[in-house]
Amino acid sequence: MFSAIYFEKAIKDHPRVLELLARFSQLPHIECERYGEVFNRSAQNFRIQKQHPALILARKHGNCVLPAPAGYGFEGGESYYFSHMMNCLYDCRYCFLQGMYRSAHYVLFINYEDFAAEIQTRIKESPEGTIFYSGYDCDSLAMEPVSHFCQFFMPLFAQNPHAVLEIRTKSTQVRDLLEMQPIANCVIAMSFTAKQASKRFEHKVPSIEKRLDALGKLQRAGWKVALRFEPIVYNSKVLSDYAELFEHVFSVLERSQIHSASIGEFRMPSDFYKTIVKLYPDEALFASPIEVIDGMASLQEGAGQDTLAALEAQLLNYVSPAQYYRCA
Amino acid sequence: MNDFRVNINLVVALMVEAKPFIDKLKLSHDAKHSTFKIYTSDNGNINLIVSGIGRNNAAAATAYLGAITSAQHDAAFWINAGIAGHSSLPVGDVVIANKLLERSTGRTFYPSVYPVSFTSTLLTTVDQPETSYLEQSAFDMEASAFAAAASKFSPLEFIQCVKVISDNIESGVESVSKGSIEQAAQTLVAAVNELIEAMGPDLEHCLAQTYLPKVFDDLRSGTHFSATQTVQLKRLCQRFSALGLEAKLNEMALLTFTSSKECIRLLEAELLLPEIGIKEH
Repeated sequence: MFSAIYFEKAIKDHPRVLELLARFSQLPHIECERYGEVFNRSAQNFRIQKQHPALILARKHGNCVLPAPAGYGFEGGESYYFSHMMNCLYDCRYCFLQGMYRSAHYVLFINYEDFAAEIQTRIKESPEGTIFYSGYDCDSLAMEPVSHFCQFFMPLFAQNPHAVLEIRTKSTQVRDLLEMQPIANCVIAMSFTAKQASKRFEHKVPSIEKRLDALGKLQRAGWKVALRFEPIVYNSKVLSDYAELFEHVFSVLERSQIHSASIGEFRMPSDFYKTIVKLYPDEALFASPIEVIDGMASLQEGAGQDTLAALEAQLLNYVSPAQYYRCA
Repeated sequence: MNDFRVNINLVVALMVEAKPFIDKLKLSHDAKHSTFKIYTSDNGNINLIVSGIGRNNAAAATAYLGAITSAQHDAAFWINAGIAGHSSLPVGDVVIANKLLERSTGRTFYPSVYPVSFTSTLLTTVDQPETSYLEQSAFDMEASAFAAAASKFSPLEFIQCVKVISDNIESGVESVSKGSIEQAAQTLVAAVNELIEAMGPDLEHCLAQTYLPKVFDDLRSGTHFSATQTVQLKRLCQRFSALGLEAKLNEMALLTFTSSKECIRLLEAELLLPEIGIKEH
C-alpha cells in the first residue's frame, strides 16, 4: 500500500502515529522535521512517484478549515472545506491534484482535534447553518482503514445538527459507516463519470457497479447519499453514455431520497493543467483542444453548453430541480 | 517509436571501489577526460566516475558527469556507491539511503524507497571520518553533495545511494584497508544491479514524458523555428501522437511550409477539426 512511512519528529509520540508505525512496522520509518521537506521538494516527479507512494504523517498548523471555492457545492449556509489528507489513493487522469502537488505521496494530518476545534469555531460563527466539504484534496473514505476519519468526525457532526458534512468519494470503504447510526446532517456524495470515461481515466477506482452497490447499501441503511456526475469529458457519445449511466444509477438508488445531484465539466486552473501536460504529454485527454477562460482550462467543445444542458435535461428526468445543481 | 536511451551513471569516491564495477560491467577508461577518471560501457549507456573523497569532489564529479552525458540520454539513473560506517550494522552489510543528512548544514534529501533486499537507512554525510558513531545512521563523506548535484540532471526518484558497511563501533575506521574496501565493493555490484531492476519499471513513466515522434526533427529542419516555436512544435507533435494521429503528422511533414509560423498554424488547424478528440475505445 505504501513504500515507506515518513513522520514529523514533533509528533513521533502521538497515539495515531504510534498506531500507524506499529501497523506498518515492515516498512521503512523515516523521520523528518516538517512534511514539506519531503512533499514540497523540487525535482520530484509526480508521475513516477505515483507508482509507489509513501505515507507522510504530519501535523497541520492552522488553516485546517478554509472557505469552499465558489460554486463548489450546494446551497444551505456558509461553505467550508477541510482536508485531513492530501493526495488520493486513486489515479484519475483528469484530477487536478496531479497539477497542484509536487509529490504523489499521501500526507495524513493526524491532529484531528485541531480540525474539530476549527470546525466548531466556524459552526459557532454561523448559527444559521454551515456546510463542510471533505474530499477536496483527497478521497476521505478511500483511506478509512488507515485514517479512521469517519470514526472521529462523524460523532462531531452528530453533535452539531445545524452543520452539514459532505464526504465526497469514489470509495467503497463504507463498512465503518454501515456500522454507525446514520447521521442526518452527513451526506455521502459519490462521484461518477460514464462507463467509458471511467474505464479510461479512473485508474484504481472501484467500478461503477461496486460504487453503486456501496451507495445503495448506505441509502438503505438510512444515510443521505448524493450524486456527483463530474467531470463530464466530452466525446461524440457523451449523451448516450450518460443516458446509460443515469439509467443504471437510478435503477439501484431510490431517487426521491437522493440528497442532491450535480453535474460539472472537466476544468481546472490553467497552471495545474500546464503541469499535468508535462507529466502526461501522451494522454489524449490533454491533447484535445483546450480553452482557457479566466485562468481556468476546460475541454474546448463547440457545443459544450448545449451538451451540458442536454445532460441536465436527462438527469432531471430522474431528480427534481430542487435536488439538482450545476457545479461551477 | 523512438529508440530511448537510458543511462546508468555511477559515482564512486575511490578507484578501489570502482574496480569491481569496471571489471564486471566491462567498462573502459575514457581517456578524453583528464579532470576525473571516467569509465564507460561500449554502448555508452553506463558511465562511472571516480570522484575522490569528500563533498566537494563528489559534487564536482557528479556535475561533470552530468554535463558530459545529459544530452546523450532520455533518462538516467544516478547511483552513488561506496563504503560507509554505521553505528550498529555489521561490516559487510549493504544499505540503501532513505534519508540523506548533511551534518555540516543540516540539509536533507529523501531518495525514493524501492523494494530491495538490503537495509534502508539514514545516511549522514560528514566532512571527517566518523569515529563516535553516536547516531543510528550510516556515515559517508559524499552522498549529500552527490544527490544535490545529480538532482540537476534527473528526477529525485532516480537518485540513489547504496553503501556497504566498512566500519562500525566495534571495528573502527582505522581497521579499513584497501583489501577490505575491495572486498566490500564486490558486493556493491550485485546490490546496484538489484536496485536498477527495482527502479526499471518506473522508466516507462519517465520516458513517456520525453517521447517525441521522430518526424519532429524533420519538421524542425525544414525552416527556422525560434525557441518558443520549437516548444510549440514539440507539443503539437506530442498531441498528434497522443491522439493516435502520428500517421497524419507524418503526412503533413511531407508538405512544404513557407515558414515555421505556417507549419505551426497548419498543425494546429488539423487538431481543431471536429473529428479530432478523444476517441471511443
